[in-house]
Amino acid sequence: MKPFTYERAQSPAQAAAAAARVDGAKFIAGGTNLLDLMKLQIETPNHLIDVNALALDKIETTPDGGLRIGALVRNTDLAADARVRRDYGLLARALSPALRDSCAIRQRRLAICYSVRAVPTSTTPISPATNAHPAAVAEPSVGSAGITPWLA
Amino acid sequence: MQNSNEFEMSRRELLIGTAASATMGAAPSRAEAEGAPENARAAALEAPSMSKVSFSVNGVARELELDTRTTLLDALREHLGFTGSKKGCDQGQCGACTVIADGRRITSCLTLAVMHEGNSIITIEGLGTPANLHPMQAAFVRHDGYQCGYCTPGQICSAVAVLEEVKAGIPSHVTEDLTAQPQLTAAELRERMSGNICRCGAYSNIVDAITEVAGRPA
Repeated sequence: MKPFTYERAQSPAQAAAAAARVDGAKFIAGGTNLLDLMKLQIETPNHLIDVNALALDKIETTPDGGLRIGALVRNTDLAADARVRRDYGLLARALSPALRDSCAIRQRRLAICYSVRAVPTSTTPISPATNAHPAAVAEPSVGSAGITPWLA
Repeated sequence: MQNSNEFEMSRRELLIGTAASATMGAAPSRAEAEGAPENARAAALEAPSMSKVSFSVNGVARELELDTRTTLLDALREHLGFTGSKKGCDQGQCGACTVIADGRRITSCLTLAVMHEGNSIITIEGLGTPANLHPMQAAFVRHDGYQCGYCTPGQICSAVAVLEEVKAGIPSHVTEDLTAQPQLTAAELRERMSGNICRCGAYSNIVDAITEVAGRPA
């Protein structure tokens, strides 16, 4: 792994400012995908901005009856949410500790990883759950579940 | 005779001379390279960056200053001496490094130590002691839930967390009724433990051990 500097962002504004300030910086949250790629030097950020302290881990009901899922919501928390289990069964199954992907990894992995993860040269196979339930990961099309645009 | 000797070389002298000229060709270029600004920049980029972190391990507060690249697993094993957690694949696929962080099982090889500021980490050493085993440890021994034992610390940490997950009502991929309390069937346990690989193939006995701790007849 290439050396990198590290900081813990305390607010979305601070995280965004750090990303703008440092060339080659990347955000890290769950990190299970990024670190894997950094070990293989497929990703070589020179600065990591830890966004785990940002309060973006809420699951909220929207006025039109959908769900607003924070970018820092862990898979397991989303799968365990009563509203998700009741109304978004496919999503719950796709995200819950499952299949060949490490169950322990899923404890940390973020729900958003499944929708925006697009790594050009990854040696990590796309999650079997993603392959098994493509509909479940296109969040906007599942009911009206959406994703909080973080750092916006 | 005297003059001719000055120009005559022995075989030994010839070899020494040849070797010297060969190294002379290489040596200056190496010296130049060491002083080159590009290399100085590369060296600066390669220099490790240190960062402080404090978290508790098995109930004891720890403070470390680490190369930011240090994974939680390496911090536990190499810096704190908790060698119970094992490095199997180092890419989150085998589960041998599983520890419990703030009540949640994680693969400690795929997370940086500096990301765990303020966390409470439990490793296999924190679950029980040889004289006072955790019920899950005792059950693994009773049911022969291992052969070589390399994956066992991760299996046990995972198993302890699995029972908590079920208690918390977290569904798995094989949970039939998502809105009901998950049942601790063998299928559920196998599914939930699928991130912990055992090359010896002790899976049946592992399921028996967990089932016993969960309070159902194996």
